[in-house]
Amino acid sequence: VTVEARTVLVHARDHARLLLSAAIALAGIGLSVSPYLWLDAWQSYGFAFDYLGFHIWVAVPFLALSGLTALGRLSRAWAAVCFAVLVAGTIPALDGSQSLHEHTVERSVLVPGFLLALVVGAWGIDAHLRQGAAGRGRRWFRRDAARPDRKVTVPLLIAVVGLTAVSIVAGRVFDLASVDEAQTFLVIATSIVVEALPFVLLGALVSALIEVFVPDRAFAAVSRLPLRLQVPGACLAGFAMPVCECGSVPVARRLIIRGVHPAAGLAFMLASPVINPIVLLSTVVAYQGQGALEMVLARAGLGIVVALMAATIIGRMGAGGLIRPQAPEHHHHGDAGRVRAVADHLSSELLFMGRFVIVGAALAAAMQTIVPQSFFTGVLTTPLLGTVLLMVLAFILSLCSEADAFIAVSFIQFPPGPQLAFLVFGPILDIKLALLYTATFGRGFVLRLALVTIPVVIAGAMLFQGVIG
Amino acid sequence: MRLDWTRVLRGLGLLAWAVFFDWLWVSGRGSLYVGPRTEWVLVFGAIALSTVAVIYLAGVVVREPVQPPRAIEVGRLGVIVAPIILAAMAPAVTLGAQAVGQKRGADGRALAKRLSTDGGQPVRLYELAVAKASADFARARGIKVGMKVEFDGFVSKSKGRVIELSRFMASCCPADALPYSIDVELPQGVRAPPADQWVWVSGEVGPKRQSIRAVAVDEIEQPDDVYG
Repeated sequence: VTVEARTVLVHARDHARLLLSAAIALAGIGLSVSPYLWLDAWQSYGFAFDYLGFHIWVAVPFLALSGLTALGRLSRAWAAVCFAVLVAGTIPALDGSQSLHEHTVERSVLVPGFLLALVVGAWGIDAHLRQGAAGRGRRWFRRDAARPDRKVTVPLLIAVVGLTAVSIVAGRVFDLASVDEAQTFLVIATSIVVEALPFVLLGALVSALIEVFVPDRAFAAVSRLPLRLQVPGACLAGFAMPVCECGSVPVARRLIIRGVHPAAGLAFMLASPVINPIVLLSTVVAYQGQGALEMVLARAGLGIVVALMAATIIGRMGAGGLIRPQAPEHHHHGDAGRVRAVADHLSSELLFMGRFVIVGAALAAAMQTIVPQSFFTGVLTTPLLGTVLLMVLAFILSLCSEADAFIAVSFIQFPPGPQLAFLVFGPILDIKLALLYTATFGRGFVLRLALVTIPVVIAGAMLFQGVIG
Repeated sequence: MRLDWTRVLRGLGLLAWAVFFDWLWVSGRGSLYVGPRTEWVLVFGAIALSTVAVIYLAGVVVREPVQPPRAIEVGRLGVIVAPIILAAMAPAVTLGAQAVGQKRGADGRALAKRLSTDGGQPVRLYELAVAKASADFARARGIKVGMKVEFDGFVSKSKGRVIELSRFMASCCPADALPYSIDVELPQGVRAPPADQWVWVSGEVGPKRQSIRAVAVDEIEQPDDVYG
C-alpha cells in the first residue's frame, strides 16, 4: 500500500508540475497579446503580422520558465518567484511599447532579454543549491544547522556571470545614473572605497612585512616589556604611521597575533588615526585662525587618553579572546621566497578587510543619501546635546580622519567642544570601522569599545568646552 | 601541475580592482571619486594593486593537490567587485542636486579661511558663495556689487526666474564634499535649465552680493574638475 501510495504521489507531483508549467506558458502568451485589451495605441492599430515577433519575444521568458519547470530543473518555489518577477517586469515593458518616445520603446524591447537572463540566473542558483545540498532538507537558514560545505558549480558560475552582465547592461540602458538617490549613493559609496582601499593596502603591506620579515625574537622582546611601557609606547608609535583608520586595523591585528600585548595593539590602532602627523596637519589647516593650536592639542590629547583607556580596559583579555579566529590561510610559497610570501599575506589581509570596508562604505553612503545632514546640524543645541549629535554624525558619515577636520570646522553652529568630539570619535568608531572591528575582533568588541569611548569623549569634549568656551 | 581555483577567484578580485584603479588613473576619471588633494591615492593604488595582483596570480599553478573552491568564495568575490560593477552600471556619475539638498548646511565663513584671496584668478562659484557670508573675504578678493563675473556650476534648484547654481568642494573625496550655492537671476527669454545641468554664466554681482544678475546662461558639458 505504501509503495502504491508513493507512486500515486509521484505521479500527482509530476502532473502538478506539468500543470504549473502549462499555466506559466499560457499566462505568458496571454500577457504578450493582452495589450490589445488594455492599451489605447494597440487597440487603435489592431493586430498586424509585423507585431508577431514582438509578441513572441515578450513570451520567450515565460516559455523558458515553463520549460525549466516542466523538466523539473527549477523548484516550484523558484518558479513562482520568477513568474511574479516576469509579470512585474513585462507589464511596464508592454506599457512602454506604446510610448511616443523612441528611447522608451527601445528600452521596452530590451526588457524580455533581461527577464530571460533572470530566468537563467534563477536556474543556475537553484541548480547549484540542489547539487550542493546534503540531503533534501535545506536548513541553511537555521543558525543551529551545519552549513553544507558547497563547492563552486558550473550553474552557479553561469548564474553569477550572467546576472552581473545583465545588471551592468540594464543599469546603462535604464540610465541608473539619472536616478538622483542612486547617483548620490553610488558616488559616495564608490569614493569611500576608492579612498580607503589604498590605505587598507598600505596597512596590509605593513602587516605582511611584519609577518614575513620581523623575527619572533623581536616580538618576544617587546612582549617582555612591562605593560605600562608597552601601551604608551604603542600609542605614541601612531605618530609614525601616517595612514587613516582603515590601515591601522590590519597592523594592530598582526601585532597582537605575533605576541604584542592586546592592550598595546589596541592602543596603536585607536591612537594612530587621531594623532598621526598628516591628521594633525590637516586639523591645523582647517582651524587656521580659529584656535588651531588649541584644537590640535585637544584632539591629540583626548585621542591619546581615549586610546589608552579603551586599550587598557578592553585589552585585558588575552589575544585569544580578542582576535576572532579566521580560517587558516593556505599559501603555496614553495621556494618562491619572501616576496611571494609578502604578496600572499597582503592579498589575504586586503581581501578580508576590503569586504568589510565595502559593506561599511555602502551603509555610510546609504545613510548620507537618506538622512539629510541638516537633520543633525540644523537644530539649536546645548553643548552636551551637540556633542552627542556630532558623535552620531561622525559615526554615520564615516569620513577619513585626514579630511574630517574640514567638515568639523564647517559646523559653525556648534561650539568647539562638540567639534572636538566629532574629530576624536569618528576615527575611533564609525560605520565602516564597526564592521571592520567585528570581522577582526568579534561581535562584542564594538559594544565594549563604544561603552568605554563614548563617556570619555563626551567628558573630554565638555572639559574642552569649559576651558575654551 | 594544476590550477588552484580558489587562488584564481581571489586573484580575479584583486585584478578587477587593479584594472579599475589603472583605468581611473589613465582616463582621468579618478577626479570623480577623489578630491584634488588626494589624487596620489589613485596612483599608489593603481601601481600597488597591479603589482600585488600579478604576483598573486603568478602562483595559481601548483604542484600539490588543492581543495576546489567553496561557493562562499564566489559570494566574497561578489562583495569585493560590487563597487566596480556599480561603477560600470552608472559611469561618470557625480554628486548633483539631490546631494546638495542632503549636504546643505556648510557655511561659507569656514571655507573663507582656506581660500586664497589672490586676485589673479577669475572668480569661481564657491568664492561668490563665500562672499555672500563673509564681507571680509569679499573685500579681500575684490568681489563687489556690479562686478562682472563668469563661472560654471550645476543647477540645484529652480524658483521661477531664479535658479540656484551649486558646486561641491571636496577635501579627500565626495563623501566629505560640501556644496556651495549662489542664486542666479535668469535674463529675459532664457528658460531655466533642468536640475543637474551644468551651465556657464556671464553676469554681474547683484545687490548685497546675494545673487548674480546673468546676461547669458549657456548649457555646457560637465567639467573635469567637479569637486574643486
